[in-house]
Amino acid sequence: MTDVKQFDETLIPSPFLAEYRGSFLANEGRTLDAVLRITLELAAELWAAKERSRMLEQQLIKAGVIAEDAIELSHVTPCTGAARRRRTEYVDTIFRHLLLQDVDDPLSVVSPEDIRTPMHGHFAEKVSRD
Amino acid sequence: MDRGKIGTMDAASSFDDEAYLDFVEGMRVFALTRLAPVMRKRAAATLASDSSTDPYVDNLPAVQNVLDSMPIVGVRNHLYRNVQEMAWRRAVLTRERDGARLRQELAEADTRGSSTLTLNPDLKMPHYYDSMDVHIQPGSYHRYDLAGFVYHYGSNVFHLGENYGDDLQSQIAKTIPAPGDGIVKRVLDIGCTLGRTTVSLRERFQDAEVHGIDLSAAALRYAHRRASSLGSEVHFSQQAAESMNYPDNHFDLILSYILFHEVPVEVGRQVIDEAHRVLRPGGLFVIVDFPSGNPPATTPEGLVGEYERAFDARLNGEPYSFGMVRSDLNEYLTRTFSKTTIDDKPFEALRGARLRVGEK
Repeated sequence: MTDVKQFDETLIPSPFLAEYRGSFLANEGRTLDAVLRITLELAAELWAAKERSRMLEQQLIKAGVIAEDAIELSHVTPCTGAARRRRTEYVDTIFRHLLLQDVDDPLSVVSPEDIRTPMHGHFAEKVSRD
Repeated sequence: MDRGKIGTMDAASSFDDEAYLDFVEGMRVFALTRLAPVMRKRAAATLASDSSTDPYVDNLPAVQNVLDSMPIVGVRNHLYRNVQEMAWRRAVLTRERDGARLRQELAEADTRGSSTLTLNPDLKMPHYYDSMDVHIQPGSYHRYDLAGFVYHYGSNVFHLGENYGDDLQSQIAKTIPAPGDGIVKRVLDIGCTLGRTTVSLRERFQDAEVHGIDLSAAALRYAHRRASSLGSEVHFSQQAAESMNYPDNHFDLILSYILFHEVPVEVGRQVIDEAHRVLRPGGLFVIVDFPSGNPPATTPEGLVGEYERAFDARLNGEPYSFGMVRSDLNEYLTRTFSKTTIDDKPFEALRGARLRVGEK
């Protein structure tokens, strides 16, 4: 059990969590070694998943279920609407910890502002060539 | 593999590359819309916790000394830089996978199509340009023959996936002012890179002769291939905006879209002089770029903004942008042109930009 008295800065109650969240990375040198080990393990597992996926695609083509380039010619760009929201939630679920926040609010995961870039204004009219 | 177009952009050469870059784009969305606001709030609070911000005003090293050591700032900086590196690296790799086809298409397009291309192999690249990689793009715009393809894809990631078509460029071309007398026979787009605003200007001014210039042959070759594939009749020429080969009083309208923050302030002044020379009396020089004439920030929020701008200058291949926002660009424009309009409100199509118009 973490002694929360050591972490005064974390004493902000979360509306969703029963416990306070503490800082557990005091010994950063060893921690980074461990994070790198985890990264290598994840990369190895990801490679296995990629190879299995590739093999599955080959078998589907061989069995005549899908055309030769059916997957390769599919597009995920542009990422809009539901796909963009799905991507935003995926990234946020994994990387939200980088916000280094004491409160982990699930409802903050996806905001309407994520849907389009804050760099652009609202175009007065649709000007796409398409 | 030729996987077709996405908007006006060539699709990545494999599904995996497209999915990878889609994820990188998602990471940039996260960095800009989730992480950066949190970082700004905490960084400003840290600076505000001092009794006075006076020691930080116009003292960037002091601000950096405080903020660089904050974990949330480190994470923000790491993501901004690393996401940019990931995007460029994969954009280069995906183009090289199909490099033979792309190079052949460029070669075939160089001398054909509805648009024209004039390159100058003897043009010496200015030191300010050749001494860095713009936006840390490997090989910059001009040292890699597929740079145009790479830049288009990278800029789409940079614009959070909303720059694969020409909506932004078209909106800019449609909303900038035209000369009051309504005469627009010749239009020039300086620093046109991929020629997207050039093509959009042609769509707006359909009876005009539209030209685009840039230092990079690689970007212009891509621009020419792209414009021709769209059936657009524009003329690309490899020239420096500060030293053009056009005669005096030649153009009715000149657009500079996000060029000035990429060049040193003194070069920016030369560009203003040169634009004035080649514009005819009554013609307009339109600048869409970062704000300028900003005094040193005094608030914690403003100091954090300066810190972020300096980060881009230091670590994101925009070494001249910090000087540009502090520069006397507006004043110089006002002194050079007989009538000047400076709009300090965010430009509608691109919020970080401002509209400036000089009339000769």
